[in-house]
Amino acid sequence: MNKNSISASQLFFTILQTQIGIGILGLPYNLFKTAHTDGWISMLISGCIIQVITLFHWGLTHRLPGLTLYQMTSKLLGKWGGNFLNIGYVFYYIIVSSVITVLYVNVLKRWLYHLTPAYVLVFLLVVIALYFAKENVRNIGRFFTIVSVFLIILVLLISNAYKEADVRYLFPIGHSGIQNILLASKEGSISMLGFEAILILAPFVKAKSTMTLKMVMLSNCIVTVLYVYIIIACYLFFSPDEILIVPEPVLYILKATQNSVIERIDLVFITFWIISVITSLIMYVYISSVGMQEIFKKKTHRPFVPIVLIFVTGLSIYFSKTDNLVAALSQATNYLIYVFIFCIPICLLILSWIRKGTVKNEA
Amino acid sequence: MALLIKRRPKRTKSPISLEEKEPKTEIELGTNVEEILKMLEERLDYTSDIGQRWLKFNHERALLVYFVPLMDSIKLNDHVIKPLLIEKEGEIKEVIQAASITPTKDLDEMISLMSRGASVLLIENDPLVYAIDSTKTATREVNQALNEKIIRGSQESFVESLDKNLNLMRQRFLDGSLIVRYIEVGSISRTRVAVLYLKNIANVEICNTIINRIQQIEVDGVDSGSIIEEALEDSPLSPFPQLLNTERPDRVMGNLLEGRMAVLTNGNSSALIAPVNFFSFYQSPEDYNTRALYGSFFRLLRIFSFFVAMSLPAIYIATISFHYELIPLDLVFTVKGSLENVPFPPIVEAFIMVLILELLKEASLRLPSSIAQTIGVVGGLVIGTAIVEASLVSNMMIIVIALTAVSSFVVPSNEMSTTLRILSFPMMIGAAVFGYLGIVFVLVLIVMHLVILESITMPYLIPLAPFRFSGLKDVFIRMHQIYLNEKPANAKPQKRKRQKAIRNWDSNE
Repeated sequence: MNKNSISASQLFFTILQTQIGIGILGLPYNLFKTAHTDGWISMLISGCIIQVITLFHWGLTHRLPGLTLYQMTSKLLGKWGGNFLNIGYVFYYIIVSSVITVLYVNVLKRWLYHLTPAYVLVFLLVVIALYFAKENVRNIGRFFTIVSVFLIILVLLISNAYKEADVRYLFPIGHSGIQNILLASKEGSISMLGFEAILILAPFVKAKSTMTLKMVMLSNCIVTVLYVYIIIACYLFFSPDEILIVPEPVLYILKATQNSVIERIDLVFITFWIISVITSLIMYVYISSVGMQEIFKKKTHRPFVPIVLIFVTGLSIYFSKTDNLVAALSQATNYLIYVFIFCIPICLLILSWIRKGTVKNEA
Repeated sequence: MALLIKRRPKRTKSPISLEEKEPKTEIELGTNVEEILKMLEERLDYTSDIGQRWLKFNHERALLVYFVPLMDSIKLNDHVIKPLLIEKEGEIKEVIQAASITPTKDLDEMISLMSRGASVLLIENDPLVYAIDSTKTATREVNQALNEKIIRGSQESFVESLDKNLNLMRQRFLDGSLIVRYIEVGSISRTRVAVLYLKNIANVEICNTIINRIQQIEVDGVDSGSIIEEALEDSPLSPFPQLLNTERPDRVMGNLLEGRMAVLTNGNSSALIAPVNFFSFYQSPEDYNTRALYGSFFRLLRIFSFFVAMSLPAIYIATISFHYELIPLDLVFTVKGSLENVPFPPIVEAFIMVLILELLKEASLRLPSSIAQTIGVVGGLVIGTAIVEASLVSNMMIIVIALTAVSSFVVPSNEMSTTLRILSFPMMIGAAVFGYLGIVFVLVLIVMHLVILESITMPYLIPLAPFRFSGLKDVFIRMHQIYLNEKPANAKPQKRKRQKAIRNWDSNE
């Protein structure tokens, strides 16, 4: 029996935890900026877009079974082309890891630690990632599964918002226009990233290829539903004028709700949210170091975790200096996402169709 | 931090089997009794406790040698010497009425048998010597379990004698599925270690791993229980115990039935159970001896106590030093009032109190119970009251630390309770440095460590990670016996089914 494998349900939770991260705290606000109170429709559309892209990614793993993304590139593009692309991916994932770190540190600084230097907070995240990203897929899957309990707590906490909801805020539905709704769905799609981990995880899944697809799609569905639930909660809780002044509406909802034992539940929430952030971070650091392992042809990815994290630490500390830099980094990452998540996998899939004869197809 | 250290030291040494360990040099015994005796005495450096008795058998001179302190004089007289004197000739094995007679040619084996309580019969012109069991080992009687007291159910506890302990275990499995494997550990002490498992239930692979790990121990002697435990552990640097220690035969029985293995050592009155999971340490035989509802209630209480013991001081420190806004206003006044005159930061206060508590515990632990009460009064009442009046520690902190201590003692396993109290230190430091974020930070590291941790190659946090829904029936609560149809997956038993019917009459009527 292969010791390093995960079950289908573990894959589901792994993808789910990778997808849910720092993005949700500000997502309702970001969608609102373009799509107004129709942001939830954009989110649904994003969900559909992501499902389609997931199909492409899955198609790739289905056509080249037993291979990770990094092995696929070498197989399809040859040694040099593959390595070139792999280096690109490694750096892409390093940057994504840094973005996650920077955004969370940013929120922490604004909500809790006004005076703490950013590098201390970066260090905290990096230490946890260092401890766990060196583990194999099996342990990562197990950990991601048990911490999913916190999502239930999140849903329950957010449900407070529905007590003071005003349904009229949502109407008229669709007043911001189809164009704006579609534009906002771009933002929504980015918040759902994480499903691409399937390209790395697929060979480790101890289930049929179609089952893998089902699990990833299920994860996409759950994330979409969860996000729509949170977005609607925010739009119903705050009036359209209010939302514009609360960049992290999820936290403001928690802050506003009263509780007889804990008065500021948002502060507790923000610290526990580190778990969701850290799961995404761990996954990306893992993927990145697996890439390095593939480039340097080593047996394990363990020695590369510290190297990846040194890059992440450096980038995070530099970019968390001012809000402008944070915004610039997020913007740059958005462009990279189009290239690395949307374009390249689709190109690879097309390439694998063209070179049909050389690759074997099995279910 | 121990958590960050690599968890498994790599073994470079290739595994070797027991036979190859020391090249056995057989020292051939001659046929001359006096020569043998001389060899023996020289070998044993003329030790004073050797006893001799000259006899005549088959018209040849015969000699009985033995270690005097090990002899049961009745056995020796009635079953060995008397028949020899009466019969005078015949086959040794027919004449002597002892349960076991072992013929040997080897001096070392002869000494080893003598050390185990055999008297050795040497006969002139006979190439073999005969080791006749006539032992009386000093041991205490089976008593009440002292460290794991329970209210209902069996009160028996293991003793130091392996044979007596195995006796207690054998009584409990009458169909013969209890298998015992002896392994000798220690080149000087030659301590007998017994690995117990149930045939057709225990997982063979895990069983072999345990036996293999014990066989590879190369030590002089097994003088403490921890040698076996530390040899078996997967992660020696982990703060969490990976084997369950128990002195209760009924607990061992329950675990054997679930497919686990038990390791009993001669001279040690507690058994080791492996592989275990985290929740094994929160299960008490009491849960199964009382009704399911009560068992579940106390189980939940213990799980709650786990969080209190580990994080209550940390939460308190974080709240009063970072997050005042978190607690309701009225409570802020109460807390602030008690803190008014205390000169130290909360973390120092907490450390003072925890230290005092550990001191008191350690001081009263080894004292006779009559003096220990005095420690309780002096420690609990005098120091407790005086320290608050002297404004060294606040009232609130005393409450917090006392609650923590009480919660940590709720854990049925002493090892786990100590682990909890030790882990509360990093939590407190985390809380003092980063507030709640620090607590969550340390908690996340601990959970990650638990996910990685293994007990004899089996996951430690099962059934939470990997998640097994059916396993939850006997974790946070103890479901009614009629629902516990399957053994827990933790030990990978060969058969998952545990029972067919408990309340068959229910459906038949």
